[in-house]
Amino acid sequence: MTAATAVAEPGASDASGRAEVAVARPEAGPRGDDPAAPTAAFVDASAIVALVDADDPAHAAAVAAYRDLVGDGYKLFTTDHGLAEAYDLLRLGLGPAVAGDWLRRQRLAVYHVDEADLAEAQRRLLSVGEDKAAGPSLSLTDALSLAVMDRLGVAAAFAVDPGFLTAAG
Amino acid sequence: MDPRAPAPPEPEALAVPEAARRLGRSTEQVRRYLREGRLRGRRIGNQWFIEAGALAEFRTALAAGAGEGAFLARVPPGDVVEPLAETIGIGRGGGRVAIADGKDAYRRSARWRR
Repeated sequence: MTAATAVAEPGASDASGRAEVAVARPEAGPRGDDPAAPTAAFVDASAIVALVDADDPAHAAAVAAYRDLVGDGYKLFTTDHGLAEAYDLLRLGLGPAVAGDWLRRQRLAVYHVDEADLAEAQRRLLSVGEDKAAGPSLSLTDALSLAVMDRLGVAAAFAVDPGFLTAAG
Repeated sequence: MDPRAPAPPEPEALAVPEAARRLGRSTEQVRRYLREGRLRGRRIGNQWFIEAGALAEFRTALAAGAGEGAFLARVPPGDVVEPLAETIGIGRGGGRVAIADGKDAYRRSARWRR
C-alpha cells in the first residue's frame, strides 16, 4: 500500500478535531493500462461498525465516505476474517440482534484467505515493530487484510480505525 | 559462431517500478511475485529486472483469471449493488462506544460497559 495516500473525506473530523473516517486511496489505482476500469476498495470492519451504528460519532462521515465510494463505482469487498471481525464487533457493541440483522442484509463480496495470505500476514506481523510485553502491534486480522490488499493490488481501504489506516497508509 | 556478427539485441529489461506501473500493482507486490517465482526475472545485485515478454505473459495469465484478478473481476461495482446500503444506521449504540478510537479500544469499551 505504499502508493496509497490517506485522504480525509467529507466530515472527516468532529467538533473536537478528532479524525473520524478516512479512505486511503491510491495515487494510481489497480487499473493497469485501462483508466476506465473500476477500481476496488477493501472495507475494514471499523468502517462497517461506523456505518451500522447511527449513534457512533463517525457515522455521518462514514456514510458520506461510503456514498462517495459507491458513487465512484468502487468494487467493495472484505475478507472472510474481516466479515467475522465485523460481526463480532457489532455483536459486542450493538448486540446479537443487530449483528445478525447486519449479517443477513449485507452484500459485500468476500475474499477467502488461503495459506499464502496467512504466510504473508505472519511475515508482516513478525516484521513490524513488536512490543516485547504486548506482542505485535498489528492484529492478525488486520495483517491478513493488508496481505490480501497487496495480493489483489488494491491500494484503497475504507476504514475508521486509525491503527489500520496507519498500517495501510 | 562468427565473432564479427553483431550481438543479438538485448530484450527490453524493466526495473520493478516500471513493471509495477505496467501491471497496476505495487512494487512490493511485484517483488513478491518475483520471489515466489510466479513472475520471471533476473536479479542483479539488489535489483530485479523483468523482460518485457515475461511481463506480458504474466499479465495475460492474470487477465485470464489464473491469478488474483479473478476475484476482483467477479466483484460488481458499488454503484450496481450498493452492498451496505441496507445496513446503514440499523443499530444504535447510544454513543457509548466510538469505533474511531480503534477496534481494540472499541472492544475494551464495549466489554467494560456491559
